Order: sequence, then structure tokens, then C-alpha cells
Amino acid sequence: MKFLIVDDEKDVEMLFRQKFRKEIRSGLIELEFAFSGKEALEHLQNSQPPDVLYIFSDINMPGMSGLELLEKVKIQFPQIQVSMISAYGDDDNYKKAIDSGAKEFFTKPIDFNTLKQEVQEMLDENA
Amino acid sequence: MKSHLKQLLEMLEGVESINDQQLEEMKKIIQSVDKDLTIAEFRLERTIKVKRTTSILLEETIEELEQKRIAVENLALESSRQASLDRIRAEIASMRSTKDLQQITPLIWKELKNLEIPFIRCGVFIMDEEEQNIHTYLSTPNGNSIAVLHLPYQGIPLAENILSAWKNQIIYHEHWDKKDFNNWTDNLIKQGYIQSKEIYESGSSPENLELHFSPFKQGMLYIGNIEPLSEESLNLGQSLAEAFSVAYDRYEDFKRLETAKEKVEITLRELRAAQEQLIQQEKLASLGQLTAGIAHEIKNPLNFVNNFSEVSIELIEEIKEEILKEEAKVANRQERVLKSKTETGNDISYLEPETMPHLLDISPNPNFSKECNQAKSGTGSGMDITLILENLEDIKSNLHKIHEHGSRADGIVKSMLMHSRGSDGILELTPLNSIIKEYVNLAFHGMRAGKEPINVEIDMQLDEKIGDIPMIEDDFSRVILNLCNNAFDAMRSKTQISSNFNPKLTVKTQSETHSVIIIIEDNGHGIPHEIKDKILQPFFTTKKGTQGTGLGLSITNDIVKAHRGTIEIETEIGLFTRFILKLT
Repeated sequence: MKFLIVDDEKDVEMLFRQKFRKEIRSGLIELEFAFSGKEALEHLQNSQPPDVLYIFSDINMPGMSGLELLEKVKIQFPQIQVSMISAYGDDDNYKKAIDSGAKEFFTKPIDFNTLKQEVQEMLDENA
Repeated sequence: MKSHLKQLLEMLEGVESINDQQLEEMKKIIQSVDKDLTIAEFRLERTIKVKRTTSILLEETIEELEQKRIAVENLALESSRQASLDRIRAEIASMRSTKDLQQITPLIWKELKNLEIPFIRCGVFIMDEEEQNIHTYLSTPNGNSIAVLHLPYQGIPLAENILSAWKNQIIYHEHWDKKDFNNWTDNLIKQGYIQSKEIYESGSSPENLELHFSPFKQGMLYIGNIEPLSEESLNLGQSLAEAFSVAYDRYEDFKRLETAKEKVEITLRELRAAQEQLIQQEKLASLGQLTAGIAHEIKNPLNFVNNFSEVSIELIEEIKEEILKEEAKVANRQERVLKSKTETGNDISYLEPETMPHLLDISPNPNFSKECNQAKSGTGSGMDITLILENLEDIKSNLHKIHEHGSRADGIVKSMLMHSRGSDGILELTPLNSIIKEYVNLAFHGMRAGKEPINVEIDMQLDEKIGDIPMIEDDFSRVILNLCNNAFDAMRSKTQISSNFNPKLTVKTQSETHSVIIIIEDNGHGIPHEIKDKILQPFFTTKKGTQGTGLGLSITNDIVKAHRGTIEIETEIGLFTRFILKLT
């Protein structure tokens, strides 16, 4: 099962790969990374239908924001689940994200325990 | 001719012995004597007349002089009276406070002496319509002033009489004997108006006392004498009273002016403070926006700090597990070898390193086992497993530290955000007592579950009359939690210094007419006076290092303000700290 993580901070890749190393090693999940909204959309368009099932996206990014990406994804690929990860956990952002069809809203610093739970639930659903 | 001389002449004419010539000569002599007499008589008469006139003139002059003398004397008296009144005016005009007014009696004393009004005691009774009090300034018989007495309008017969005379602006006179005077003094002492009878009497109470009270605008002038005062003295007293009145009026005007000035100054100060506060608030608002921005930007790197340290701890755990697993395998294998050798009768020296290598060939990871072994025996070169494990442990605890401090920074950032954002919650009617109960308990259990729990007696005195009050529950609960946590911290640090100490948290609610009071009191170490005013400021903390952000009370204060409340702090070092929240 493939997850796409979108964040303009490159270190996110290292962090996610290490945090999910067991799941990756055992072949339960695959992680893909995009460092902008544009890159993420390109990635999704590369394979038809897209191989990604779940996107975790940051909100504050240069260029296309996470919320814009969310809207675009929901239009183009409604089957893909999108959750937001942001340092700005205020009500405004939260409401916008959920209204636009985000599944969950995680705040930074990321609590990987809840993130892993979310991944596990997705795995269970798709099992 | 005088009758006697005529008789003499007739007698001579009758005498026969005298000849005519002689008679004629005698006649001439008599006539000349008569003439002389007549002249003498005339002169005498004239002298008497002159004398009479002179005497009349003299009398007139004397009378005139007497009048002049009286006039001069009056003038002197008048000018001395004038001077005395002027002095009173000047003295009173220089008085600025009620305390200065106590100098009135010595002043009156001096001037009564100057005016030569006979008296043994004097004083001034000022009527205070507002307070329904008579401010009484009395002298002792030796001219010192007794501390001012405040006699009520009602209840003391003399005071009532004076008051009624004052209202009619008439002179009041009363006679006292020794008994009356003693009654009065005793009464004053009994009611607590004067402390010492000795000072009041200054020796002895008078046998006879005539009390005279002269009215003026603001009160009565009291002159006490052993006998009734003459009309003149009373008049003098009256003019003294009037002079006093003018001066006192001016004094009061001045005092009113002072009060007004003070009020204006206070208002001005308040205005300035409000202005400063406004500027401060504006600054804080923009600072708040800036803070929010910074806080968010800091959250991103913090995310990495915390999560990388966390994942690195996991990685180290895995490495350690692997090493220990390998080690266990090696140990197991060695044991088996040892056992077989023992059975074949070889000694333990077989396990010496130089005899090891071929045995270790069976290991899937020969080098590792070898190194393990070398590490154990402490000889040879290569890796020292104990050292590696120790270092890994150090790295792990370092990572824990990084994570701990990262989390701390995150906590600060969160508080900063909370601070800058303010609350967007809505005030809803919420039962205060149950909120307080809930969150005090929550704070208590949180403290018990946390680091260094302490035993605390919790005394809740909640006023049943308090029902629902408008509040933002999320915010207000933070206030309760925060104040309780501070209380626990204060009591915890006190338990560390004094052994015989039973921590107690008292939480009270009180319903007042237009407000609700919440009191959270601990018997901890108290707050030093010099920092009491600072503790509500953002980033002010007394907690060392990692324990506090310095934002707790500042946020608490903001929230209470947002609930239209105030926080008051009462504290005594080493005894207690009491936070009094007043919501209106």
C-alpha cells in the first residue's frame, strides 16, 4: 500500500522512512515523497490509476498550499484519502481542511503514534 | 462806707473831747480806710471770680484729658485686638492639614491672653454637618492642646446644647461646679473620647466653671472662666470668634482646593496609566501576531528535533537488542563447548583466547563472536562491547534529553500561541461550583500521577448559592488548573525545607451581590513582596530551568480579564498565598 507524503521540508523523508522502517521493511507499506503540491500532482498523474492510496500533506508550502492540493486531489482523484499535517492547528485551518474533504488533521510536532494508528487502520480496511 | 466805719465815725462825732480839726482828720482817715477796704474787697471779689473760672477751666481740661486717655486706651485695645485677629488669620491661613488644626487651641489661648479676656480654659468646637460630628479642640488649663475629640451630634447633653445654640447663632452659657466637670470628664473617658483624665484636668478640676460659647459660621468658640464674663469680654470673644471664622473659611477653601487638586492628580495619573496600558496592549497585540508567526515557524524544526530524537532512540534500542541477541548466542555456544570439554576432562584454560578461534568458526558471525569474547576477556584489540553498549546508553540518554528539551520548547511555543491567539470561545452559562470541583480534582490527580507527588489536604468550601455563571469553560478550567498547579508547586518546595508541614489547599467560592469570588489558597512558601507585582507578567517565572515557561499566570490573568474579572494576590512569606478571583 502506497502513501504519499507532501512537505517542503526535505528532512521529512528521512524522518518518515526511519519512523516507518519496520512497516517498510516488512513490505506492509511503501512511502513516496513530494516536496511541493505541484510535484505531488505530477506524481499522481504519472501512473493511471495512481498507485497512491493515501496522502499526508503539509499545509504551509511555497507555491501550491496543502489546502489547494487537497481540493485538486479531491476533484481529480476522489478515491485517494488525504490528511493534513500542519503546525497551524487553529480552528480556521482545521475547518477549511475538513470541509474540503480531508480525512484527518494532524498537528506538528507530529505524534507518530497516532499517525501509525491511522496507517494501521488504513491497512486493516484494505486488507 | 462800711457800716462799721460809719458807726466809728458817728461815735467820733459824738465824742465832745475831740475838736473839729481832729474829727475832720479822723474822718479823712476813716474815709481813706473805707476806700482801701472797698478796693481790697473789689480785689478779693475779682480774685475769687478768677479762681472760680480757673477751676471751671481746669475741670473741663481734666475731663477732656480723661476722654482722650480713654480714647487712646481704646485705640490701643482695638489695635491689639486687631493684631490678635490678624495673627489668628495668618496662623490659620498657614494651616494645611487637620493635624495643623490641633494648633488652634494654643493659638486661641495666646490671643485670649492678649485680649485680656479672663479665662482658665478655652477651645473650639467645629460642627461637621456631613459626619454629624463636633470636632472639638480643647486646651488644658496650662494652654496645651488635648488631642482633638470627635463628639457625636447626639448623645452628649452639652454637645446637644451647644449644637442647638450654634444653629441659632446665639451665645450659650452654662455653669458647672466641680461635680459637673468631673461627670463630663468621666463621661468622655467612659465613651473613649479621651484617654487620660490627668492630662485633661492637668492637676485639679475647677471648683467653678462658667462655660461661654460664642457662635461663628462653622462652630463655637469656648471660653471657660471661674466667673461669668463681662459684656465687654463676651464681645471681644465674639470678635475673636468671627476672625477665627473668616480664617477657618479660608482654611477650608484651601483644603477643598487641595482635595480637588489631589483628585485631579489622581485622575491624571489614572489616565496616564490607562494610556500606557493602551500602548502596552497595542504593542502586545502586534507582538502577539509576531509571536504567533514565530511560534509556528519554530514548530517545524521542533517537529524534527523531537521526532528524530525519538526515532533515534528506537534505532539504538534495536541495535542494543541485536547486540544482546548475538551475545546470548555466543554465550550459549561457549557454554556448550565448555560443557563438552569438561566432560572430556580438559581444564578451563581451554577458554583462553588463543585456544578459541577454531571453536568460534561455528558462529554465523565469527568476527562478532570473537570481538564479544575479546571484550569479555578484556584482552586483544578490536571492539569493546561493554564500551559500545555504554556509549549507546549515553547516546540514548542524550537523545532523551534532546527530546525532553524539544518537548519543553514545544510547550513554550504552545503557551505562546495560546497567549497571542486569545480565546474565540463564547461565554456560556456554566455551573461554577461543579467546574471548580472537577478541575481541582483533575489538578490534584495530575499532580499525584506526576513527578514528586505530595500529600495535600483539599478543603473545598463552595457557596451553594452560586449557580450558573457565564464563562468559557475551556479557558476558565485552565485558570483553575493553573492556580492549583502553582499551589501544589509552592507546597512541594515547602515540604522540601520543613519536615513538619501539612500541605493544604483551600478552595472557596462566595456569592456577593454583584459578583462571585473564587479563592484558591495554599499554605506554601508565599510570594516575596518584591516580585508580587511581576508574577502576572508574561515570561516571569521563579521556577528553575525546565520547570516553568513563565506564561501560566499571565495566561490566567488574561483569561480572568476576558471574564470581566480581577485577580488579587494576598501572601505572606512562609505562610500562605491566596489568589482571589472576582468575577462581576
